[in-house]
Amino acid sequence: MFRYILRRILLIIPTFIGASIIIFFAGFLLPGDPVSAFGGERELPENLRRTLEERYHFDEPVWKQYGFYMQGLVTDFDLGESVLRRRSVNSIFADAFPNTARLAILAVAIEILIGIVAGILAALRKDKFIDQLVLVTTTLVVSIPVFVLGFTAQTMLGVQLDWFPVAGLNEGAYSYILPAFVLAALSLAYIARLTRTSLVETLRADYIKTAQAKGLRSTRVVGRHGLRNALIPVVTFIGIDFAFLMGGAIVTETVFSIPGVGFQLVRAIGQRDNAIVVGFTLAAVIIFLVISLLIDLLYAALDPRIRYE
Amino acid sequence: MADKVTVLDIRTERPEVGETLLEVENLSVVFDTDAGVVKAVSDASLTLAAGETLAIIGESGSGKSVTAQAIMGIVPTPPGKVTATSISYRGQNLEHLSESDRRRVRGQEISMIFQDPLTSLNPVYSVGFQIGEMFRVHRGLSRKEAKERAIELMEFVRIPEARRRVGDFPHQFSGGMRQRVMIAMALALNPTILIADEPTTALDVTVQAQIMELLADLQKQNNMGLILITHDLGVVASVSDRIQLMYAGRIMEKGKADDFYASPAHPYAHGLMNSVPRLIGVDERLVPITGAPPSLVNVPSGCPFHPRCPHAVDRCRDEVAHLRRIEGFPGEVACHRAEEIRD
Repeated sequence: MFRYILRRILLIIPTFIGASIIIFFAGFLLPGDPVSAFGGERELPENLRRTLEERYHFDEPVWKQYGFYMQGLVTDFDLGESVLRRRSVNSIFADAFPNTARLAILAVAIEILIGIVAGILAALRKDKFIDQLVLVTTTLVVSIPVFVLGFTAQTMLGVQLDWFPVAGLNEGAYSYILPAFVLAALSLAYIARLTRTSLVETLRADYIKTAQAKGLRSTRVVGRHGLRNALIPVVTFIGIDFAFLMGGAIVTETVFSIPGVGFQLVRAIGQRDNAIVVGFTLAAVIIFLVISLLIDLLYAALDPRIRYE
Repeated sequence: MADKVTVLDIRTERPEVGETLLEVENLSVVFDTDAGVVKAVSDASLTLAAGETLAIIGESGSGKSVTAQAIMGIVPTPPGKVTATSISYRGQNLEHLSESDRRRVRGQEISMIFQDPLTSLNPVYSVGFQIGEMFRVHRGLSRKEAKERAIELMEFVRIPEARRRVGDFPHQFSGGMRQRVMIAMALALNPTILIADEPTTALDVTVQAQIMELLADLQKQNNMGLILITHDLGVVASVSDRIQLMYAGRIMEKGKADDFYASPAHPYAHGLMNSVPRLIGVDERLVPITGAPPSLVNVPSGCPFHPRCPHAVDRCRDEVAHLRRIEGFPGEVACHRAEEIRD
């Protein structure tokens, strides 16, 4: 088990280095010059330009800039500075992240609750009405693009029926409900399908016959012996999905004007604020790697066969 | 060994030697599938007494496993449908029991072990949990007490270092040890009947003998009725008291094991015997049975063996042969021409 954890942690390092190089250099290749952008319409005086370039190492070759950046990131967890907004990327991220996190947590909770329950019901009533209903509903949800779903929900439930806030975060926790459902919809459909397939498959296994032969109640046969095995792939998917959502939901946050990571990222891309684009993307990568590490450890706890390979 | 019997759950009403434990009359099991109605078992009857070993022999698809599952009451319905004049356990018709009473019989009175111990054990629970579950569910023991009982049972079925290995998972055991875990689990509540469905098929030959020896031993110790389901004539030869030979869901021959091995009556039984290699008479050629076992969706009319039978006549095609006694043979055989063939 210890070796598994260690190997899994060490794997993070090359992954992060690879991802950071791609992100940093892609950011560098984008058109636009942050120092000129700082001045806006006006030409900057030569000495000010020089000072700024020196301060942010813009005069150095790109691989050196990458070195300085990584040094700051590793020693001080410094994601850089937005010249345009005159703020550190860290503080912008710190403002945006809690909104994204709340949205992601609520969305994943919805996915788990509704997706898994629907999947279990469909599996236990295979080929019956409820199974068909789940099949049709999930197919429908999967085939609608998120932004269409978002705008439709916003117009119908927000504007016309006035059940939910249309946009923004002015109504506290309640403001998150509609966006969370929209954000959850796609994965929810996928989880319902995955749970169904996995449970149907599991219930055919030999050890289910054994559990029945032991004289266990059918609730225990399905719950203890079936679900525990069937949910292994589902947990993996939920984990990856959660890690992904924590990096910011670009479409949903934009549609519902939630000032989270995705929202800020879109804004920064529009303003050609590369410092934010690179910093936010790297932060999302770090969050993704850490959460997926935790999920892999959970996976090992769920499936004892993993630990000893 | 005698003191170790106390490891098993003690109940007052252990059966006496020779007491009839199980009587199955005219059991039929059909499955409704997309391909058609599968007649897995047709009109099969059997009895089992305490301390006795009954071997049900047949090729795969002959209905022997389904018979076992019908006795356990774990045939999936639908698509399966079980009908029988009676399936009675110690005089009580199991089909008349409520689901919760039936569950009490299952696992406690009649228990079962399966062919492949790796896939039959749940991969995500320790063997100790899976054995202990019997005590926790049926006897309401605590987790800790159940674990102690599991360790005792693992020692009882001769798993070395039981205390150290109780927390290990099925994939960490060898095939033979896994089957011992299955046996420990099946014996946990000291059942009066153990059904072993191909218990040694997935194991190495050397391990096969150990497991058979263990089963025979355990049976002697607490006077259990044992139903041994197998396709392997060799495995059952030395341990079984009686045999029933199945083909295409029907019982073709039944009788004492010694008589069967000395001189079987049914042409199918002859065929099986001739296709098994023997140690003596090395220059004898093996004679396979021609043709393949029938599909259970389209069971041949009359005697299901007639398309492969060298002695078949028109009557075999038209008329089902029922088990009957014949002159000069101590058992029963389902063959129209049994007398002629025997001469």
